[in-house]
Amino acid sequence: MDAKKAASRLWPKIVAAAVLVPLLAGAGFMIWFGAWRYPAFELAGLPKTGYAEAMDIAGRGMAQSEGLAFEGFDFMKYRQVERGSEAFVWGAAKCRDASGGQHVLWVYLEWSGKRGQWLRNYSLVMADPEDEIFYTRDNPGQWDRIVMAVKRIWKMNRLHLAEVYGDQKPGTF
Amino acid sequence: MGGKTFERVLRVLLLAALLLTAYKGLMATPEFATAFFPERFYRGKINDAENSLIMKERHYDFNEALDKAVRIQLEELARTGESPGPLVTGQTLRLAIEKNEAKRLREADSVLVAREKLARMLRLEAAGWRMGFDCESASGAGR
Repeated sequence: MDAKKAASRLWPKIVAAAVLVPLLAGAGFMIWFGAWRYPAFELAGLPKTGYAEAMDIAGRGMAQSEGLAFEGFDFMKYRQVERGSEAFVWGAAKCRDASGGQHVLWVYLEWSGKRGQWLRNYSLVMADPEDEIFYTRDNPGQWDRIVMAVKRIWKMNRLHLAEVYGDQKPGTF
Repeated sequence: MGGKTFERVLRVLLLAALLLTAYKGLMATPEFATAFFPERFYRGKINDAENSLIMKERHYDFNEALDKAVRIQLEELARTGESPGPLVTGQTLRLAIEKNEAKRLREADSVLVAREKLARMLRLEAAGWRMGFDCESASGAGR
């Protein structure tokens, strides 16, 4: 009788664990991926002075995951501090979609002194149709803004995952 | 017996924590930092100023590139007559260009301010400036 009771109390815990464990594992994976894996992907081994190559790798990889043809950087700036180890490189690249439309890709990398390599920091296709720059005071409304923001984050993660684990390697578009 | 030893350890730890707090608090003041660790003080300040100058320059460049992207969209809309999404219209595109212009002016200003702050820290370091512990020497900062 007691064993049965104990078992009946155990079931809800098993069900909760079956739901929570994969959820937490998934969240943990995405945190690790976003904070550690993706920023460093294919950039290891390049020295600080190899920033142009790092930008090329990051730009091509991202353009490819967005389905755009990479045409090269319009401008690129490298800056480093004199006191300390920080270095930064950013630029805007020209890209084309399948129908020949032009797009501007922003790529920004930071040198990590701790990891001794370039890391992706912030990259995006500029002025895409849902960019905040097209928001007006009351369009879209608050709810639509939330939905769009969540969709953006979801899409961004999906593209980053495709860039790292997808079949096509950068530069094969 | 054990209780007394434990108390003594706690006392020592507490005293150490208090001393550390006092030390860290004092080192956070420019008076003590410039007097006892001027090199570390200036390294930190100049590193901060350099980083923020680079950041402001990057923000300015981001805005320039964004403006370019918006103008490309405006051209594409004029060429094809097709909007890529409900938010992109002739009106929102022109509004976006105006926003970018306002931001460009602000951010150009931020770059100047950041450059001036860095120049000021370098000047203070070169002059070997120390804050001093009286009000009069403090009032001379940056001159």
